[in-house]
Amino acid sequence: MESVVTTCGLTYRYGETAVVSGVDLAVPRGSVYGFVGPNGAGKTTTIKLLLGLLTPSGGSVELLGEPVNGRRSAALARVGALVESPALYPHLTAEENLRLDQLARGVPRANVERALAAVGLAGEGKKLVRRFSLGMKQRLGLALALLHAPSLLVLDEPSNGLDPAGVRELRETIRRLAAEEGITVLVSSHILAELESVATWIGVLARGRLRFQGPLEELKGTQPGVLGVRVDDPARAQALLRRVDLSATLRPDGLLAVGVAGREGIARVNTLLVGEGLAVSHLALEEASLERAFLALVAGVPEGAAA
Amino acid sequence: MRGLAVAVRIELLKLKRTLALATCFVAPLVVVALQVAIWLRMKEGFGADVEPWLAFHKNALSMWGVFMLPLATALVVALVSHAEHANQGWLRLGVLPLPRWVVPAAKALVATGLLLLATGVLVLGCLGGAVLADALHPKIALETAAPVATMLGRTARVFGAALLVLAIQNAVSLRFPSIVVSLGTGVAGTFLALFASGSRLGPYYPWLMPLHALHGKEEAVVLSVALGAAGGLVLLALTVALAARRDPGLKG
Repeated sequence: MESVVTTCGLTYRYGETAVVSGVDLAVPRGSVYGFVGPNGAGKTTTIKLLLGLLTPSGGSVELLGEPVNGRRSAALARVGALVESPALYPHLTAEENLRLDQLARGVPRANVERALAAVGLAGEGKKLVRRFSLGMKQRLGLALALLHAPSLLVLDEPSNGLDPAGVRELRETIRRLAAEEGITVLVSSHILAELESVATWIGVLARGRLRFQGPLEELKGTQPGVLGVRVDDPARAQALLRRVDLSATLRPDGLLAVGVAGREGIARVNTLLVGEGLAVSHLALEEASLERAFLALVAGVPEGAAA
Repeated sequence: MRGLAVAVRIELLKLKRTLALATCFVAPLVVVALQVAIWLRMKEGFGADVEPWLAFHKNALSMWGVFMLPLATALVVALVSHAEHANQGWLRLGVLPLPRWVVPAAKALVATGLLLLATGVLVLGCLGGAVLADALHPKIALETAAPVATMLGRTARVFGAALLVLAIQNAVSLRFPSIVVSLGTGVAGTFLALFASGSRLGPYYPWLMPLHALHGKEEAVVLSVALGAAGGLVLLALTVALAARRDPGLKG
């Protein structure tokens, strides 16, 4: 599978501290790559390294086949980016803000109107940015990133400051850009649910190290499923399951949460409980969530593990 | 060079609705207005050895070179850089496919251009101010055509000598995000000039170079213009080179 972002041993040190350590990213063409990590994991630093905003202490970065540290302008020509909060000039109108980048990128002036329309800001072009709401600023930041019809879009925490409707709209925009325009999107967030519904590929960063990279389903698959079981005597069932080394937790709603792997596991639980004379009235496998898989990956990573 | 031309155009667009452009008109016209007021309070006319046009211009240029130009420089240069410091503009400019050096170079060029514009406004203002004073004061008589070439020559000397101050302000403004540091440097530099003027080393003090370029003896004029202009250009080039090496993603 062809990668549009490739890093090899990417490392960034701030003094003695390694903020990013030995990261090997590979973002497949056409994917929506969710870059997940807790606050302070090094996501923004990694994105700055990808875009040439920081010089790596070690390793290399290639965007769309061009080395960022050797041919920076060529590498960035087909990349749109929104890093941290949108960098806008409040004393200029939305159109004037876009015009600055239009000049720098040498694209037709018609792209300004097109980009505003693409983010739902058509008709707001003549308004001063200082009068924009936070959500409108975020959308204008996205318009800046889309102005030159990029092949790769890099969005760092783009939902910051958006209301729930804005988050949903953003998610739809990302999905549409990837599906209809074939743009590869690398989007970072610490809001896992936000990425779960839009990402096709996931990278998990914790303390500067890449803990997982692969398809969303593969990440979910790293976690055993949880089987919800309702029986007439939960305490006895719990004891029986523990005796055969199965974890079973009694939830407040009266369901027993049993950790199982595969269909055989489910059948084994059922056979055991029924065989012991318990009445099983509910048996359902709960799908592993990205959040659970993510927490399992980042949990227990020792302090300073990147150093 | 296309990158530099584009970056200059971008910087010019960003000046819209800013104080930077207004400063270039207001600051020199305040000096001219002050000089007109001084002339209107004169009780006697000029002696035969005084060329009124040049007298008006030289007085205005002195005020400009010592006080208003350094302060206007501090403000204009700070405003040009502050647009990026305040709005995460360095990140935005950093992801554009432009060579890194063109951004600080464009800022330096635009700031220099703005201050050149302000100095041009001063010259035009002097012409208009002298005519106005002539019309309002019966004892002022402008009997000859304005010696524009001499006026421009003196103005060029002052502006050339002021380039070092411009370069210092540019270096400070690019490096420090706080506009207070830039303005503080300008105010402190101008204030200290009052004390440095009596010193033996005065001609080497950047904020006094415009004054020496206008009023000094011949060697002091040459020294001030040469040090101010050459030092300014070297420092501007050095600042651009250093700024281009600094990662836009670094904070502070």
